[in-house]
Amino acid sequence: MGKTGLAWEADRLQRIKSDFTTLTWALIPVAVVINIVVGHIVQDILKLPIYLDSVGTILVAGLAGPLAGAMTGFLSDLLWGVIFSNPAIMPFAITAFCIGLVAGLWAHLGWFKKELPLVLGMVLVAGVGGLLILIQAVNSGPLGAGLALVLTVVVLILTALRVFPALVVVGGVLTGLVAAVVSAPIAAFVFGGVTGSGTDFLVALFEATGSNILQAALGQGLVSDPFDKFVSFCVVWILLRSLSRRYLVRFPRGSDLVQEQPIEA
Amino acid sequence: MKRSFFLLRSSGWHTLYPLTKLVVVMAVLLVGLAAPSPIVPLALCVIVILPLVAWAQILREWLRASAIVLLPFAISVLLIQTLFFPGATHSFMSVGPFALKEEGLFFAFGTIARLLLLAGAGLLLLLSTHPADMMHALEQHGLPPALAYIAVAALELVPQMQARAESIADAQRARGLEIEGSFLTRVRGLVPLLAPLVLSALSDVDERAMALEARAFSARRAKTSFKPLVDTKRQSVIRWCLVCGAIVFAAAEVLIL
Amino acid sequence: MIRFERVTYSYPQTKRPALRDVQLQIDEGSWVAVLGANGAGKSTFCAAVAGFIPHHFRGELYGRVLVNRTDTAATPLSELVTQVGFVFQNPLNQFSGAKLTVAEEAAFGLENLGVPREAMIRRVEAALEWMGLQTVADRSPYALSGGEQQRLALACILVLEPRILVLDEPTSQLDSAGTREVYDSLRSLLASRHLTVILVEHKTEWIAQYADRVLVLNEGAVVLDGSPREVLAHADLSRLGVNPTRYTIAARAARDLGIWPSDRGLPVALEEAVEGFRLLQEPEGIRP
Ligand SMILES: Nc1ncnc2c1ncn2[C@@H]1O[C@H](COP(=O)(O)OP(=O)(O)OP(=O)(O)O)[C@@H](O)[C@H]1O
Ligand SMILES: [Mg+2]
Repeated sequence: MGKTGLAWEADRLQRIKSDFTTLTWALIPVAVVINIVVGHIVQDILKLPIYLDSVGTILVAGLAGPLAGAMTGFLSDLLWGVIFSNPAIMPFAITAFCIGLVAGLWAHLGWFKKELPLVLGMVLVAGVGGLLILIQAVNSGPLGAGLALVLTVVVLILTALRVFPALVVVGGVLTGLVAAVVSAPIAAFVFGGVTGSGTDFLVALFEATGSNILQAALGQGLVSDPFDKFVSFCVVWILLRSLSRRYLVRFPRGSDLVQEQPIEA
Repeated sequence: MKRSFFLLRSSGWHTLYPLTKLVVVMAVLLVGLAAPSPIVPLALCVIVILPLVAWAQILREWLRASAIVLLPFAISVLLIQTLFFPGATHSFMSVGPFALKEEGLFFAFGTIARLLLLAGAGLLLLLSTHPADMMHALEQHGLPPALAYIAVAALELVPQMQARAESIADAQRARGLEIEGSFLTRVRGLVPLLAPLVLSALSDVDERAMALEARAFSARRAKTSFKPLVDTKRQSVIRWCLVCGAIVFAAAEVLIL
Repeated sequence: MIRFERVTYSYPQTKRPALRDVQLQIDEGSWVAVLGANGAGKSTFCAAVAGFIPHHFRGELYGRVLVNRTDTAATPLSELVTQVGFVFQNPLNQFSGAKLTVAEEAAFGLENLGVPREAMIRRVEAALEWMGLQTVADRSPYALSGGEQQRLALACILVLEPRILVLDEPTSQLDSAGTREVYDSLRSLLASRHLTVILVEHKTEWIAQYADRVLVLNEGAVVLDGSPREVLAHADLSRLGVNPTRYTIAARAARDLGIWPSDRGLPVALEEAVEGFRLLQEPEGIRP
């Protein structure tokens, strides 16, 4: 028992090591810059109410495994702090690290390429949406629950119309949930709940309706993050479909992301 | 997005080994943030960080950058926490229907003090140390070279991507795409702007990897370094003292205060 | 010396080989140009010489590639790089990106190999001098012109002191001034050092001037192999997706019009063409 456990550990270590090929090392800086430049364009130039700064993280997590994705996220946040001279946001690198891990796990399970039957997919999306609503109802009352309901309805419609596969949608929402849970204590203890950005009005609303600071920070995160990560997962899914199969399979875990296919003639 | 994170000066602080600067900043942060009272971070900011900033000859830029980081945050936290601080009972003033809470004001004040230290110390380091030198120093002290590589490579890649983003934006504008204006216009601008940017960046990865291989990136040997970066015995001693001192101080703060 | 022993290679998950039964030998000190249509397998050939096949690209490799008598499949890439240097199309993609000055960038490969600092400085200086970059050694690699950047890319490889240089369309991103810079530097380098060069280049005028052997690939197979004169004037060249030089085209047009004698070979370079057309004006009898 002990021996097989050890062998299994060694196997896993080997797997992690084999994720870091030169191709992975070349990919990570590019992905970091994609995070930063896309995030910057979306937030500061197009001024859209979404972060979209983890597309590169999710992509690397899929192509080269959870640890590579986590590193990409972590580095992106540090570098964001460097480039925009804002060291205060660097603690959120921990959140970005976790996003990479979760997205990597999702891809590892093959859930970026798997298509579910429509009914099952709808049930799954509804389930995860329900979970989000429930958490919000407990954490931040009817307001949070209402906003979660809106998100749930939107993703249900998109899944029903088969715009995006259910598992990708669910992966995004769940990753957002994890991100919110990890960010909330950082936001509460480092920043006193607010961040100086547009989402602060949500914190004020939640506090005004009876949340404490941690709850308010979590409530805010549970509104912004699941939506943001849902969009990011969908963007990555679209990207994966526009990249050639030949390109994807070159990466250590590229074959986790593309459908099996008969060898081309 | 200007790259203004590093300012070259001929100060004594600039000639310090990057790791020494990092340890100074980390020690100050540890002592400052472990303290329960907001007086400590505030005091550290004034008696440690500010003189170092002056020594590094980056006072004006440091003030500017700190203000940019802190102002929106400070306004937000003051406003929200004095108005809505959960469970507050004492109000010192009321404005229309809103009561301004005393506990909230103190809380906001404490948060701002801590963030002032975090941002101030961080900016001292960022503005006076080139990230490439920092990574180089960390590499000399055991950071895996590949990690140092990705950090610096990403940093150097930003302006290239930036330039590419601009040329794509120009090209799309020339084709009549609008990226300014109403919310919907901006959302519609998203895909034609970002898709070519991301896809072209990704398509370079393969060649970049091969080029790295062609330069022995994957060699499993102890690497050497072309650029000299000198550490001194004295700085090494100072670093160890700082680390020990900071830990003792922080522990004392947590246990005694 | 490079030897291909019946090399057939297919990329992963493809059936059609990108190299088919390639059998050839390239002697030390020769300049070999590789031509072919898009997708003919030129880059694949280069990758096989440099050991990227099979080390970097997986897939199926049959036969052997020998570089200086060692089997590339059995030697790690990081050791092969000191024997075979590889220069790519886009200079920006070739820089490590992690170095702030030209000299540091040039030293990157040597750092990875753990070369002592004194030796490193000497080799970097030498390589920058060969490429005429001494004056910009302290500038940022990204502040250079296209031609300078590609010469730096060459210098980055030359510091490793390979005996064989593989260049895959090194000038395709450059204007004619940049192209000339790169070729002039290469020529002066080769005059002083006895290197073997394998070059993929669409601009056949340059090849006619420099190469002493030309290979033409088609669907992964070597279909023409000979001196520039034989290959570049070959009747099948256009059919194989390669543009003949403008001198050959002009002379062939002249021949089709009956001006150029059909028993005389077609020129591939400027001097030959001038000489050929000059002869046309002289009466038949006194031709030397
Ligand atoms: N990574 C890869 N995976 C699968 N097939 C590939 C890969 N790279 C190239 N090929 C295929 O191998 C064949 C030869 O490609 P190669 O890049 O060697 O051609 P080339 O002569 O260099 O063309 P070009 O002039 O476009 O550079 C082509 O059919 C190409 O589609
Ligand atoms: Mg090619």
